[in-house]
Amino acid sequence: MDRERIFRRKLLGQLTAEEDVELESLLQQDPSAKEEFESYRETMFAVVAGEKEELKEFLHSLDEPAKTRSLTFQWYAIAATLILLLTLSFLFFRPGNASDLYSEYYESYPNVYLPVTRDYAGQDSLLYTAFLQYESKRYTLAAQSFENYLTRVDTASEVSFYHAMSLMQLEEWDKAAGLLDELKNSGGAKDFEAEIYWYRSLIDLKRKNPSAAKESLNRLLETGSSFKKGEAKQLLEKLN
Amino acid sequence: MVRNEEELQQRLRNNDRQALREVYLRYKGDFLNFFRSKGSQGVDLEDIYHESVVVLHQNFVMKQLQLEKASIKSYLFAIGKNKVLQVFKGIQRLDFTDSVEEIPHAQDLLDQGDMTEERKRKLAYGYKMLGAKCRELLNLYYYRGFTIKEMVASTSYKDENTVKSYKSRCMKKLKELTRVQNG
Repeated sequence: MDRERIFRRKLLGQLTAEEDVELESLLQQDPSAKEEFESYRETMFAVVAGEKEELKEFLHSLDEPAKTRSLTFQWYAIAATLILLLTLSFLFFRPGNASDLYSEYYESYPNVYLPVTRDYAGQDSLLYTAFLQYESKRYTLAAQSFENYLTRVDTASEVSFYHAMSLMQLEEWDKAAGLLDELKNSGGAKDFEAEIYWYRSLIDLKRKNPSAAKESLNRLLETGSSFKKGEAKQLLEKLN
Repeated sequence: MVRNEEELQQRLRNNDRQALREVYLRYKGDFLNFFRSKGSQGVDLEDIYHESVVVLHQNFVMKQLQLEKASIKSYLFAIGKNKVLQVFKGIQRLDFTDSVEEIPHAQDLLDQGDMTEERKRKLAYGYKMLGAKCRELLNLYYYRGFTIKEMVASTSYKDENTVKSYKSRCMKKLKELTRVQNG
């Protein structure tokens, strides 16, 4: 059996006691095998964590009430389609504005900060709850929980970033912008530097301030991060 | 074992979303009522249910779990019990006496105790930032446990070498995205 198959079975707790002893001894004696194992373990973790988030979104969608279709609904649908067509044709013949660009480019930021740890009983349970609410799109509760956490437990910059993300979902632009500006100025949340500039530029688009948006986009590109790099360039072209 | 139960297990092992949907909807009400009746008020039981279904899915798909004595329902409830106990650890006692079976191997596969939280975050972030094709390939190999040969059969890649080469590019990309920055 190839080595990666053994690694997989080890991580899934499927090795026999004998196989386990054999693998442990190999990992102790052979640094390159140890390195391979760690690389396999990390990749598997990344995949499981990512799949978990996608699965939770799927389960969440199952809870949404089924749409009932009636004759009235169909008439409403036809009327709505006509209105949509009229609106689209109107939009098609006029230049796009900054606020439209917001809708085009905005998407919620995934929870990559506390995606997987499940120590409910630890002191982080407030934070855990906040991220749960964020993941399940209950943004009002999430914003309150993030705020509580930041006031009572820790002023972690990354948590502040997610607080801002929740506020953006609630369309509280001023508060969200304030938090992102604080993060920018304090140099906090280094891992989210590009993200901070990206969302800050979107808020400026929403506030119909394209020159400020452009400034944030340029700063984003200066970070050298690959996050939204293509979109930032595109947006800059549209704004110029 | 009831035939329907056997079929459902097989579909879960095959990563059939419709089967997962059936399980999710079939047991949700009983699950919430059961844990409510055991004094689990004040816990986000809806979320515990989501978490439990995810663990069930991981175990069926990744470990190709075969339940011989227990049913899917009792397995799901056993996972739920562990989750609820985690929430209440050291807070209060819950009465589960003989009401839920103890089933091994129902742990969350993401409980990698010795990995730092920062590293976990970085890895989760890296995977999300990959393109859809890379995620698909890595999913088949690391999540579903396909061999390279099986990956060729279930994708449009023309042969094993092509799959290997794409997979290696995706791994490289993931490594770049999750690189530990010094200084």
